[in-house]
Amino acid sequence: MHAKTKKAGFQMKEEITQELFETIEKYLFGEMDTVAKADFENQIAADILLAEKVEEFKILFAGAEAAVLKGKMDEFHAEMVPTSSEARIRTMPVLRYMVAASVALLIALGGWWMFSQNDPNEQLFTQFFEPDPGLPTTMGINEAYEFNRGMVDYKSENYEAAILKWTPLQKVHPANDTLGFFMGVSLLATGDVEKAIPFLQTVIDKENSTFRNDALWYQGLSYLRQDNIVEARRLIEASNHREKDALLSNLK
Amino acid sequence: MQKDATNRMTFSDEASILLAIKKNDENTLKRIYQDNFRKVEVYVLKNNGDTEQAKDIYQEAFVAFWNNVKQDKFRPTTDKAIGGYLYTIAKNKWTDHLRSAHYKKVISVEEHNQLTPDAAEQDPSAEATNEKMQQTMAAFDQLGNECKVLLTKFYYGKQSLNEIAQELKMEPASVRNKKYRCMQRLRKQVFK
Repeated sequence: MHAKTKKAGFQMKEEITQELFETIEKYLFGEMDTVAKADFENQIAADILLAEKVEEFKILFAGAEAAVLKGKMDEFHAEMVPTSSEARIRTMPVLRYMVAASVALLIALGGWWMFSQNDPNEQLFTQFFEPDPGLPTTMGINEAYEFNRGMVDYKSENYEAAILKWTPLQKVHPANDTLGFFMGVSLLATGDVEKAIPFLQTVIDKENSTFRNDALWYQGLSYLRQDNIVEARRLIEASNHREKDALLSNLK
Repeated sequence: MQKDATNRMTFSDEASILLAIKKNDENTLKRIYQDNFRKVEVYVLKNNGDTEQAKDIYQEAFVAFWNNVKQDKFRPTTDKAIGGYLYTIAKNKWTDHLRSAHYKKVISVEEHNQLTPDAAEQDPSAEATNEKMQQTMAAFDQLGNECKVLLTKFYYGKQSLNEIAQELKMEPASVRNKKYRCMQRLRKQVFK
């Protein structure tokens, strides 16, 4: 009985002594002489727990160094002259903010984000809504070409332009889930929740759609924006989005 | 990056570049980093990525390259070899990313010919190790400042215990003991 308890204790991750730590360190940094090294390697070969510890420290030493390197790399990166595309990306959020602010103030386009400071559901929506990254825009022919042109707009976050290009296509192919999904997400991104909902619904209704799971998530966000928490919770629960749990725990 | 002949070593001597990388020589690492980013960036941008994603993928590739040099798994002899190596790792990582769950639906909707390279060559045990490495890096950032400074000087800066003791105005024995405690803390975070 006594021995058993002791064994169980051993299986937990126990501390290692400073002496053993330094031995492993010496070994991994190649600071042992040939005899000591051979001796230690024999011990490793005979002791699986020791072998495991050595492996652990190998990763820990490398990881600690890599963590410092990560900081250095960011410094190296910051010193490089930005390319035009980088410059554009860096300035965009500011621009977008300014445009958003002026649009909100001047036209009050629904004005929904004006209130997002106070409304907890709006805040959650803003926190969790991120448009789908979109599809690769390989150039095809005819309609595929039109679709791709819209995708180029979509990926450069020009959702209004994407909606304009896709609307005629969508009328011809109302059951197409790819179109339905990206129309829905684009509308949601522009704040037009009411119009987004039926598009996302057509995708959700299509049982075998590859977009169904993501559509459930976005539809949940749509209802969240409309303060329909019951429906939002049901849809988000049905999705398997990676941020599902985080959002659910915030839903009240 | 512009070529600046005065600031750069030549890699005529294989041993010197390997040694410089192994001891984390700042100028060497910086030069390699800055010289090889753009090519990767162009690749990622052409393949549905943005500059931020290019940076992330490149930094992952850079860590892998640096780690492999340290472990003697990769022994470059020229600048060109390093550039090619970094580019290949980054390209494979980016292909993996595009094939990952988030992008899966893409494959079923569109046929794409541009995504067929040999990305599946990585072995699974390396993946597990890589994950633990990432966890260690994150755990390191969570350590207290004293631990970070000490571990940085010792493991990254390759400074001796005595040097560190002098700089930190501590006894060498305390530095040694503290280093042990800091590593123990890191281990508990990563290998619970």
